[in-house]
Amino acid sequence: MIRLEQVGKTYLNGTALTVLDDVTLSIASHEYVGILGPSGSGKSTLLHILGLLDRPSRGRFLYRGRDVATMSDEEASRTRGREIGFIFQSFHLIPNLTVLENVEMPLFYQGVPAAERRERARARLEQVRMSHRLTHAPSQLSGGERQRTAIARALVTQPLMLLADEPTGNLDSKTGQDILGLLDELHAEGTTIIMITHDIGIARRLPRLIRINDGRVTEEADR
Amino acid sequence: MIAPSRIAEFMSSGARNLLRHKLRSLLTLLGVFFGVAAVITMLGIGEGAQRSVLREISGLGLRNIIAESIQPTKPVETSSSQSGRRGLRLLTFGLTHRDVRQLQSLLPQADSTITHMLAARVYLNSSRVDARAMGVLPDYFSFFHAQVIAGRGLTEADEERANRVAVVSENLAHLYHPPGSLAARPIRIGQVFYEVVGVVRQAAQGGDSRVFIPYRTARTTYGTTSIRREAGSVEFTKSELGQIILRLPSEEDVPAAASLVRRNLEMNHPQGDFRMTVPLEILSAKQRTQRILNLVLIAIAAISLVVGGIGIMNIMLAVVTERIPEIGIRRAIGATRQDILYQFLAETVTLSSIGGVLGCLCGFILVPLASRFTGWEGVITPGAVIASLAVSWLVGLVFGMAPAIRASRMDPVEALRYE
Repeated sequence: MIRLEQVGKTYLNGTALTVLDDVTLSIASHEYVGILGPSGSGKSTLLHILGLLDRPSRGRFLYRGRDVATMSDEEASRTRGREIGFIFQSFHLIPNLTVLENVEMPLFYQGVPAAERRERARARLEQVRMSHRLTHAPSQLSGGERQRTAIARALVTQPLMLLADEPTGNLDSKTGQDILGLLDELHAEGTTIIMITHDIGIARRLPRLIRINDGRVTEEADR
Repeated sequence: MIAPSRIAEFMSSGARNLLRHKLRSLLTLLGVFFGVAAVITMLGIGEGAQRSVLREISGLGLRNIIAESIQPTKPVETSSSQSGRRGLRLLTFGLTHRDVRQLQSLLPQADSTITHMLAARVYLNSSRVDARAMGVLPDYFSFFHAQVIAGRGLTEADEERANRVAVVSENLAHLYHPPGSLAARPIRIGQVFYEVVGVVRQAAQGGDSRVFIPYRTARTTYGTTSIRREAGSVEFTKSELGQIILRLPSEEDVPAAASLVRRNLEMNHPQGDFRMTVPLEILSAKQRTQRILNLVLIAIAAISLVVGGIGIMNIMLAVVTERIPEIGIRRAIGATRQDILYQFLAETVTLSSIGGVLGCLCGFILVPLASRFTGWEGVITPGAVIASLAVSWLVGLVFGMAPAIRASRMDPVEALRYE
């Protein structure tokens, strides 16, 4: 599904800062992959590149066989909207919108009619056990509820791949377990999941682990 | 292109965002509100002024050319009949029947009529009435679109027999209550009484009060010489004709005919004892001034709209900064740059359109109010409403563009990281 060939990323903010260097890896459909590394290791940048939010400075990135370098910004955005779901450490819900509206939002950008959007968003919120909070604002929710809402939003488009950036980082351990359980369920249903974490305990639970350090993949472990 | 239903969704979500910050939105749209209110008020009053000028002057007959006798402004050798007594002299001036014949042969296509102005004073029940008496031919009234609103006008028979009858202008009609009492109260011009037979309404004459009697009556009763007594001296003046009025078949003929008449009269009256009035020329001169005034007013309104627009732009730039994380989120879940652009544009256009609608409504209050206090006529045309709404919409679009572009160009990764 995804293939990176000698991908590097350098930021040019006054001085050149290389955050990713010579990364080569492949991820197949239905995989459940952890990316483990300390903060500043470049794992977020890697996730942004995988999610078509950012582009490599060097090397080749094939997304479902397509060279990402040939995609226009609009194509990348549309592909991202249709096929990729993001889950962030700090949830990233839009504070002005209700739970239901937040979950509807990705479908809006796909041009789905309002009634169908509402229908599908409700279904997803039910799946993550958030049906009782549809009209609440994000600020009225607990951390776990916020992350469940964010997961519903990521799932509402039925993406091929979920990208999770430290999804449990802002949650207490019990709620974190709850969220991880939810992701496990989704993987069992066939969703490809790539999860960033710096928690070795969490990483150990995953079938495949990629360690990253100073912008380089130092170890690929399959279990 | 973007589908209308999408535009509606962008607009409604924009409107909801605006409702979340009611005070800020209100303050932001004030600029456009005042701008549009100013535009529509200016247009309304401008239009009203235009119409009243048009009505006033078209009452003079836009196809007419009016020449009238006046006391010469240039020195003239007084006629030989100057008597031995000091301060007693006869002054002959003004238009003559010869002028009429010449003008008729110059402009055979024009109708013409003449009047005889009387210096004699007008009395009703032995009290002085502030009105000008003149002798006119029966067709005089048709030259000025005058309407008989009570009784009758002057007829050929009146003219033929030099009847002692009079028609008064509308603003003297209040002297006759009830209206049926016209005949019962004869009017006196100089020393002669006239039976009042009718009242005419003449749009152009404005505040001037007039008493019309048959031309022949005027000529035979008062002659062409009038006497004016002034402090210690008596002045005799003689003028053959009061006015010559020419009516051209169409307005297009007026400018050429006017210069022809002017040249002819200037040649025959080098002493300048005549005055020409060409209503069409007055109208175009007034319309020119009106247009300039309108331009100035519109420019002032435009400035307030620009200021309003800058206000909107300023706030929207702040809003974009405030919502950087949201932009990142929206990009991450599939919004294209264009989607972000539309989102912010929709918000600005919604804001400015609301300002426009409110400003328009305000104009509907201001225009009648302004016309009440200034006495000007105010007219809000559908065109003015459409123009001012379009302008408010345009202000949103133009001044919203910079913030929206800034939002759409934002790098999604940086936007997501922004705290």
